[in-house]
Amino acid sequence: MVMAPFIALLVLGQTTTTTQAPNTIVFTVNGQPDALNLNATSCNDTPTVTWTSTTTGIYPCTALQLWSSNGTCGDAPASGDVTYPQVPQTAYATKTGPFTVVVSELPAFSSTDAGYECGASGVELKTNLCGSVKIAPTADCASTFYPAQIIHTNPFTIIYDTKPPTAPVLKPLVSLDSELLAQFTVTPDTVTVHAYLKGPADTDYSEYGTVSDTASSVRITGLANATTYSVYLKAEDASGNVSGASNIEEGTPIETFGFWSNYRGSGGASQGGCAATGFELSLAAMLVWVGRVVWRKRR
Amino acid sequence: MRLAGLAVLLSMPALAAVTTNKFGESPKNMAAEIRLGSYLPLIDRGLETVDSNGTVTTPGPYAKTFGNTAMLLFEAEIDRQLYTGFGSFGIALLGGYTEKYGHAVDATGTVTSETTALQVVPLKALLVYRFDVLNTHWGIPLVPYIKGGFALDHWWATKGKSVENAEGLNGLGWSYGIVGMAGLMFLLDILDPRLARDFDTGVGVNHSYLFAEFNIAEINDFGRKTTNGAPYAVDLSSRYAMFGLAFEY
Repeated sequence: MVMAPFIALLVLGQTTTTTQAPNTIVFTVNGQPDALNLNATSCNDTPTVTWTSTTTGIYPCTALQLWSSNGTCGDAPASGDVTYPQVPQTAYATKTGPFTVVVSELPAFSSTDAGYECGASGVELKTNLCGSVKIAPTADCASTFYPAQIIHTNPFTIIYDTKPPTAPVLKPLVSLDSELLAQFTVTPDTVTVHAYLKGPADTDYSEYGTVSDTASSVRITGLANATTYSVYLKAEDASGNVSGASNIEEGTPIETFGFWSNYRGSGGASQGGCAATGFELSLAAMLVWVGRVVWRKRR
Repeated sequence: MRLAGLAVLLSMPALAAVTTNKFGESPKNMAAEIRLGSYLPLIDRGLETVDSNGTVTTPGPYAKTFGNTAMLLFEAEIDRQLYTGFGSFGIALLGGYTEKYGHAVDATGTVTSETTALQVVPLKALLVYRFDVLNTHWGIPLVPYIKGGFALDHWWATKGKSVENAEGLNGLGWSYGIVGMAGLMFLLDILDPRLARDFDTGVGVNHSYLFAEFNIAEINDFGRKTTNGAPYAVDLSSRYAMFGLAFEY
């Protein structure tokens, strides 16, 4: 009894479950997958989202539905979700296309949800961008041997974030030769760290530069030795929110002497430099010749 | 003149030979080695102050910066065997890398947070003689060998993230000289002859060895000195032991 369907399939020479390529629709904004970060200045923005199907050898049985939701993406839009124009089956054949999202109309700003207005400060709201389409491996969407199935888009999140990250913690500056090393710790939402510097002749701080959050320090170069500088840092998140200033630290670069200075100071007469003498060039040529002989094809 | 004679000798095709043994061993005329060792360059020679008892009163730049601790030297070597018969004779090309990190000091001699390093890329062209007769004639799995040749070492000294500059001179350059080595290889094939045969059949490696060798290197531009007696080159001479693996194929 249990074997009967299996035998029937063997007779037909095919199975009801077919191996297919992964069914995937990917959203991107300006070529970036996964997420779109917005802040309070983005309320009038209408970013263009591109959907792209990476699936081959399939036939759409329905139009591609597109919507945004505060909840999880299901097979179809739910109440309160914001829908976007469907992509008809004929247009789906192009495998890619754009649609426009109006930031101020995202479900995150619906009065029935959190009730925040776009422009609200100090909040972090997330909206999922969703899509689904029913596809089949053959043109026969009613086939029982190759049944149609609903596929969904990869996760894509629109993040409205007006909450600045926590200010970095700046450790005591490390004094180097004409440099200061500013080591810091930041919170995980930080993506960029800005360093600000003030010298004795400066009336105010100026931005020295930025480093990625994955760096754990900023190396401030081109300073004068024996001069005291003040440094503070600010953190910036993916939505462009900038934290308050970190603690201020002072440091004084000092002249240091490494191995080469010690060598010269001890009376070493090597002149250094890249230029090779005639004898060194002869030796190098001999090394090349030996290498050629050694590497010559085995006989 | 000697170099010319050597070149003629190495170019003689009649000397090039390929050996096979009676058991159907694959042809072999190459060898490769990888080795590690503890390398303490004699940079401070002539730059330190020593009293009448031989005690160092003022350390040289290497000891001052890195202490008297050695560098870990890694080298790789490729040999081409030009003659095989009573032992094997060939030429070899060797390249390596070693580095040593320490901390720079300030004007008072106090150690600072600034890192400083000496990095060396040794290059060598060698003549190699391996006395493998002990194994081939009497089955003793030991192969003594000697090597000798020229060395050309590229070195550079860094402070922080870049090459250090002192007195307007960049801390990088070349030192050259001569090297000699003597060592003993232990034939690993005897530990598992079947595996050794498979290694030969599968990838063409005839013999595998563990080896230890002693190196004498005089890499100081042949002792060239300035008029006031200071060494003209960064002296990368040393006496050191190396240990490694060798493959003949």
